Amino acid sequence: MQNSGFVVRFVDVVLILLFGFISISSVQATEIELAESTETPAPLPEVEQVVFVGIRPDGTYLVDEERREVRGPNALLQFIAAEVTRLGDSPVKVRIRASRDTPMRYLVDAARVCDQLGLPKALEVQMASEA
Amino acid sequence: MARRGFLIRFIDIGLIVLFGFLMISDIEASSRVELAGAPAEVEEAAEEEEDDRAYIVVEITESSYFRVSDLAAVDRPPVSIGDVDGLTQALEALSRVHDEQELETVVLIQPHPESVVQATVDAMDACDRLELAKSLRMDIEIEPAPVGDSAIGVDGLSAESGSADAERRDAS
Repeated sequence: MQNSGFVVRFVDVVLILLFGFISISSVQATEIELAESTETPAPLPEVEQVVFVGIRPDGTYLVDEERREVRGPNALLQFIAAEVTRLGDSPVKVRIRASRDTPMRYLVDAARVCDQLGLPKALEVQMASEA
Repeated sequence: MARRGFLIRFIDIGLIVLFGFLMISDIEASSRVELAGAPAEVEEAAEEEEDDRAYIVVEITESSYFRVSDLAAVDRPPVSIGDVDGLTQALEALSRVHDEQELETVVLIQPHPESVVQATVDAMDACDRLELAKSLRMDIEIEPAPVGDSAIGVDGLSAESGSADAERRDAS
């Protein structure tokens, strides 16, 4: 009987931990549907601070964990410059998350903004297995 | 004994629910394509080893078709291709010719401003599949490109504002 009580408590604790982790984990729903790539190798861990820039098919940039919209390269430049200032001395890298249907011109604009600020940049893709 | 049986069932159900959620959750594995630096940096890196290379230009049209042309064979008209498999085959055939001539093949990917990102990623995948050096030419401004910049980023991607393609357009 005592043994059974221990098991019940054990199950309780495990469930509490499980739901605790679920509730504090940030499950982020993204509206960006990345381009799929079968050949891009698995990424290495990055040492830099990463600034994410999402790009919708209509050319709107999504920043600040996709909570904020900015329109046009000038507004994007201002945002990234502010982020770089906020992050201080840490090296910063820009990760561009463009929807697969996004016209290339918006990706090019974002890349140019990074070049203007002298920041390294990368295009995020979704890894897909070859059919 | 009955209580213990109930507990085991309870744990079973808990685990089934847990693994059910894990199975249906959308775990997206993503990677990243490193984009090369500013044109000046790329140009410096590309100045060496120019002679033993042959360039294939893959233009991506507005409707995301691929137009492949071999700069080593200017008399041959560009080939229009609608899918990635066709592109891979065309690149393979051209690179085989270059291999016979002991030339290293470099693929210049040149997307139209209105072409979609997926088409460019597909073209890059085709190059990676064939282990060909590639460079993404992002000089896709409609306004005239500045004269003199003709940087080529190899083994990476370059965001550049060159005039090589403008010259090619003029020539054609």
